[in-house]
Amino acid sequence: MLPVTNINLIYPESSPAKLWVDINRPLSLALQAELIHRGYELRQVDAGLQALCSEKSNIPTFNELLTQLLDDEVTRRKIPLNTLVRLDMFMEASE
Amino acid sequence: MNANFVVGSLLPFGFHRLDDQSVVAVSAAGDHAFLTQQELSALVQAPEKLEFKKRAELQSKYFLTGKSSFGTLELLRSRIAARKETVLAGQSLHIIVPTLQCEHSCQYCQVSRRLEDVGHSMTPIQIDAACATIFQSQANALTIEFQGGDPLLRFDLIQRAIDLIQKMNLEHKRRIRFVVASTLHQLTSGMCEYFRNNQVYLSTSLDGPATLHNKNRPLPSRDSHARTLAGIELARRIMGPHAVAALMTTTKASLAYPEAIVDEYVKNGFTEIFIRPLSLYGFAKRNIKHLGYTLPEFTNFYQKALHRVLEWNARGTELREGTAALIFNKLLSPFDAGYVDLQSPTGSGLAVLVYNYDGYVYPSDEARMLAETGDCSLRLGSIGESLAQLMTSPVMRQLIETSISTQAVGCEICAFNSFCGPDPVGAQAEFGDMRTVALLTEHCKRYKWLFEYFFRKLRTADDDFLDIAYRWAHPAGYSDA
Repeated sequence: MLPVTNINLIYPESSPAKLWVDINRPLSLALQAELIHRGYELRQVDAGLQALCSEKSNIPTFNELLTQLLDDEVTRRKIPLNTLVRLDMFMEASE
Repeated sequence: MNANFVVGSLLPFGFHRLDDQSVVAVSAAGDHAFLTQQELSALVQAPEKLEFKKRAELQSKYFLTGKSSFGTLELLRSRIAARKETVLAGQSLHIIVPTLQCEHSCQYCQVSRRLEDVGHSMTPIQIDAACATIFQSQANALTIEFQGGDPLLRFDLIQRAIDLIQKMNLEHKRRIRFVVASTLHQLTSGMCEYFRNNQVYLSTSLDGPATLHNKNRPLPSRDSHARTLAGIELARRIMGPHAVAALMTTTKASLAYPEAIVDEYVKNGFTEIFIRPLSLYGFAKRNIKHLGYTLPEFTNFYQKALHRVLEWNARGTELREGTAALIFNKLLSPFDAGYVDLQSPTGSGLAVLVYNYDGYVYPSDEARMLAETGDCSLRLGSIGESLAQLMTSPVMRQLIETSISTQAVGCEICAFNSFCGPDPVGAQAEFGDMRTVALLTEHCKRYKWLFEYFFRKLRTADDDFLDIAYRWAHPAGYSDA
């Protein structure tokens, strides 16, 4: 895997604790990025992650989304990786 | 016949969820299929349970191989190679920036310098050296585009470059096309005659009706719109009806006028309009409060403008919308149109090179704009260095390494990674680091929205819409410019 910048986790301490939703399982970097891409802030708490929901009513929506993303990740693991496009094809082309 | 559809292996593909019961799946070849949740589950777990017709469709689109489908993998490799042709065949777009000087003082312009400023133009020696590098590219078809500032302010340097390239091409025999991007305010009959004799096309900016255009592009005389239209008229009269193409820039002020902007293009005889958002580089980023808008604000504007374009087409007036056309090209054509922002690895440097007035070579227009704000980290080298030296520079290698869509974090599982790729130049501009996870960039948010939007439209499209989609998907536009 190529080196990438770590996702910048945000720690808005002033946010009400009840709006931080526990994510009770490890998330891949891709899934963390997907949640931030969709507008959620994440923070590391002890060994786990929490996501910030803008309103209490949004918490079920977040949980549904996370469940769907995790289910889709399980499906994706059954699909072969695309190894047909490789970095070396293009490094040679640039020389 | 049935033997052709005996289920073999699953091939690599990605899927994007449209709702909780359906997805669009995209194969490594770039072909797509709309699947229900049940079909997706069957495809990955027990493809033999899929209906015969669906299985046949998925096999023909490189999601599955049949046990007797010898050569499927080789065909798939060919399809991928065809899509990558634009970044494997050599640099085809060479942008020369002879000067930064311009009459305008647009708030969102990243680069221009006033007429009285000095030291913002290339030297004749740099022009000659840039022309020599251009012919080191392996690309058979070359586009040489002059940008600025307003390059017509240094017509002498444009002429020098074109004359030299025409002379050198007697030996090299490439297919060459010249484009001059200008306000057209300085255009004269003599220039038009020279351009006509050298197969030069013009590209200009038309932001919409006079009030909007003049607001976006201020001049002391407040007649920017009228002077651009006069330039268009002059060019068409001498060079031909398809000599000029126009581009618009969407500012905050534009958001209220989607229909009027489209109508302005029709009124002035254009058959193509390119509704594109503002790139927040450089000076534009500094003026973000005055000029900036959110993605939902832009997409709302875009949908209304596209609706107007489709209305004109329904009335029999042909008008092609550039953003829709490039997305349709990605979704519906096996041959890529080569749009630089949507290449993997990045088209910056591999498909495009910019020879800048400051004596340096940059991998893209955006990279040279970034340099104007003090971030010169994307310079590939100096004008005069060989193409081989530029291509093996550490910057070029990092641009390639960070833009492989099948390997980058988040992109590797994205359904659209056959159509798209991380934009390291944009990431550098937005986060100061070209290795930033692509999913976090504006580039990703914008194009993911566009891919999903057009997939949804295709899923429910009627025949009229499909006719337009397939027509626009063809790489060549109507305009010559």
